[in-house]
Amino acid sequence: MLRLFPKSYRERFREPMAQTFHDLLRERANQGRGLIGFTLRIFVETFAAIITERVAVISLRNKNLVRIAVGTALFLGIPLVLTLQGDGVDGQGWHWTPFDFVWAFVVIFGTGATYELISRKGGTTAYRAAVAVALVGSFLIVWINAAAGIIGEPGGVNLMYFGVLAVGIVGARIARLQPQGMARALFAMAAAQMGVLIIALVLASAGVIQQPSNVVRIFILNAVFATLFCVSALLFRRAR
Amino acid sequence: MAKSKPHTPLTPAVLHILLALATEERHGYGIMKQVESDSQSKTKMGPGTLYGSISRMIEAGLIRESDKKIDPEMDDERRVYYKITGLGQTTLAAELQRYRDIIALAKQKRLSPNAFSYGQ
Repeated sequence: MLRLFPKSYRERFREPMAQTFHDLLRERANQGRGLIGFTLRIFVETFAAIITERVAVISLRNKNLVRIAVGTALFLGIPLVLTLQGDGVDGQGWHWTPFDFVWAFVVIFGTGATYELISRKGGTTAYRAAVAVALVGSFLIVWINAAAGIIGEPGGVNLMYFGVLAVGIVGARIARLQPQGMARALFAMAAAQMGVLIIALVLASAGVIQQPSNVVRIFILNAVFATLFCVSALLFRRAR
Repeated sequence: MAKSKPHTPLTPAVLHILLALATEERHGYGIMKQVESDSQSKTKMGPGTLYGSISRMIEAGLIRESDKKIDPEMDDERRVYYKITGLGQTTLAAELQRYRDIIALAKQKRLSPNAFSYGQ
């Protein structure tokens, strides 16, 4: 029955609870009193505690997700005001289309929700910081790619950067979010990040795609993302 | 993460657990028996209630887990002991002061059980 408690609760209190159950049973037996009514009472009380702890975990998580959703909506009030004030062309500058708002909400809320769901797995400050840094890097890749493209215009060769994110997602799945495995996944993401640049330059030199206009700027941008992923990896290594 | 200031009023379960740990650290069963003794069997808590309260009290910084050790009065299993923290002591003191203030107010209004009267 102890297995029905939430995982973190179970890991912390399974042994002490089991010992207390045995102590109570032994006390009852030593007093020569019946065990059936006692066992039934303990069963009901423990079941109520299981429900209480489960609801607490769910409501805390839901409360945080609601906070993230509200925060995202409030943040998007800034481009909303700019869009309503300006006379610009739809989809250009700060004149967002409804699709832009939906997309921005999904990306920002998705990043926040992912942090909320993953960061609790580790429990240490280093783990939470590592998750935050990795998600910041991933968010910026998606945002900058959608807005202006990292290599040339949005789309085209920039779609390879989604492969960098895929490396992270698959790596996190294989690692089961354990710190050491996550460190390896983030190092792989950093390597993939620079790999995209190398592939793009090779394709450009072969004439498959147009030569990027500012290679130094693109290199620096990729190096910043790769550095973020390496920092995240090192933080995961420190997390236990 | 522990909070930095006492938060009263406390639930009866939390109050009794703090009272049980005020003088010495205890394991879960020891806390249950001390609470039962302190309350003259008026407050009984099962393991589910006890450890739910302990979990929330640890998160609030009122108590913490101490070393695992053997209880010489019981079997030779190593048990997790719980210890009151500085914040827990401060919170308990604040709660007991709150009770003293309420009793003083009740006495002032002649509302004590042995002298219950209206306007006399």
